[in-house]
Amino acid sequence: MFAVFAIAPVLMGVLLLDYLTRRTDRNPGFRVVTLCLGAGVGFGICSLIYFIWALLGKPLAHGFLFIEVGCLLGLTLGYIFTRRDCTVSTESHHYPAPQSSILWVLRCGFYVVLGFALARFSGLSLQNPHGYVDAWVIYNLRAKFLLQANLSWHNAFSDLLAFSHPDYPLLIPANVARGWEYVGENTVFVPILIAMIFTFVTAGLLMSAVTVVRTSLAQGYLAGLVLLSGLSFIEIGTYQYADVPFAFFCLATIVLFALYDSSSGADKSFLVIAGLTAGFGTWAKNEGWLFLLSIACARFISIALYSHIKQVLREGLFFALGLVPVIVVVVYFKLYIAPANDLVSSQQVQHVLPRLMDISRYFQVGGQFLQQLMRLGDWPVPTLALLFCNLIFLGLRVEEKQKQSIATGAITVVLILIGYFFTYIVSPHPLSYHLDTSLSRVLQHLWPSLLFVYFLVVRVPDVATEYIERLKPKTA
Amino acid sequence: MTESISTESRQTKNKTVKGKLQRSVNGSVGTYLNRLLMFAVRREELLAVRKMAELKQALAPGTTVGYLSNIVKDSIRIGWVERPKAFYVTQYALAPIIVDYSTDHSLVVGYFDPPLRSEVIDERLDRIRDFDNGVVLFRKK
Repeated sequence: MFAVFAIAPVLMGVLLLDYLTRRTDRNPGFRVVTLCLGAGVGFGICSLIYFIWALLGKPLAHGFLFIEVGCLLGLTLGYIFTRRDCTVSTESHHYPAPQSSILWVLRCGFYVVLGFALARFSGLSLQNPHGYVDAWVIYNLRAKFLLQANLSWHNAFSDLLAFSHPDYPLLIPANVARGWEYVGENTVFVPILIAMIFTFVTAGLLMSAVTVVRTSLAQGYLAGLVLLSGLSFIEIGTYQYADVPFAFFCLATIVLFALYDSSSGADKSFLVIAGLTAGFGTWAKNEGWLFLLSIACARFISIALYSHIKQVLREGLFFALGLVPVIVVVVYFKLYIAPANDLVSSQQVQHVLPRLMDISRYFQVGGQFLQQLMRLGDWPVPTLALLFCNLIFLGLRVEEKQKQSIATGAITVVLILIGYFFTYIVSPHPLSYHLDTSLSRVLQHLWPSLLFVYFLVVRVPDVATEYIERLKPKTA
Repeated sequence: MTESISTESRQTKNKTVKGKLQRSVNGSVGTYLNRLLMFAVRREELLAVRKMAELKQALAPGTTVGYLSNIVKDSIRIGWVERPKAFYVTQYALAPIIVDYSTDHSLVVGYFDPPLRSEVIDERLDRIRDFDNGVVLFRKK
């Protein structure tokens, strides 16, 4: 049952994505994108099914299982019939020939780093099997309450547990509780496995999406290598918090917009799935609302810059198709179950205004932002500085049809950064405490998305190798 | 003389800068390696889950119990609330039983390190059961 708990959502997500996109080509890069996206979307859907089943008072023992099996059967049938109706795509996907030495080095490097990352994840998880503080004070604690029969799980939102942030959305707790129901006991391996899947699926999505969008394996390996070799991303993954799943949904939404733009606006299904992943962002963390607002603004701006404004309505419609089902559940949770958020409820104009006018707060927050941005990636040397050097060495290369995706991703990241910055400025908590306990974590939300945008902009190493080869004196 | 002083000071300055740089590189590489290779430490939450397992079985799910402890080290602040780590660990280990940070309940859970034996802990509390590992269940008189 332990394997089924993890395989069922992945299968459900992959089948749903396959059904929606109706892709029949054999592009291996796109297969990995579908697998990674499917895993995240599947866990999102399963957590919603579990929550709705709990809302209904948990009718039938393990009733959510019947719904999951029903969904899987429906999607399998849909998959079979769609396959029959579709003609095989003749679209060719030629990545640069893998004989280049740089590709070989990057491929080896990627797999070595992946091995180290897996070993490190396992080691840290063994060291902290219950996760870090917030895992056993918030996420896994709530999962233990969700596991209760009938409607007793509402105890999780008791005033006596106000310290455990009962307003936090339930993507992770619902998945953990669901896993425990499958296994039949509260084993630590369920939250560890969920954390592991989200951490490595994020890296897989980054790597495969860069490969597909840039049609360069070397670029894909490089992107995956940078993310996995950073210590903090893997470490935060082992915390069993919702930060890495949220980072996954941010990246997934930006990637889906890029895939939509790569299809020259032909494949609207990517927009529906982008709506779904953006919705799951709000179901993973409260910051998801800021992400939703930011990506909507960013897309609007990028369309205004590079396309026709009429496109906003068309895209918005398809995006909403995926978004609305998730948002309805999240809004219900927020309105009828969750108490108010501590950062929002205690904000009154007479308190906020002095904080906004306090220049020292801007210096303190700005300084910490700079410091933590330099530590992003967590290499012995500042990762951003190295990436900048790489950019100088390789140069920029932006393809026309990717301009809109790059603008969408970059503006989203900037808007979220601004949002986080002002959240700290008006924070009702002691500023040093708030910055110290959360800033390094929340910046990780943007790290995979930032790397995705970066690798869409920087010239691919294959091209650089060709350039170096051309510069070499001909011996003949 | 002036030149020798300035050369010396320049050398000292260079040494300081070099030393600082070296320390910083060593420090960051050291930290990197340490964090890469940290393994197996006994975690308090693991111990608490094991210690409380028997008590958890003795209580009905959904019950609200009070909390009493002599473990005050390692305070953790979560949002507005700052309490000893032992309290959060107890709540996690006993969930779905709700643990309130007070003794104003008919049942009170005691978590003591070192374990307390015969002494009177609180005159208003009767010891119902001692689990012999620092975990005690009390009833309010």
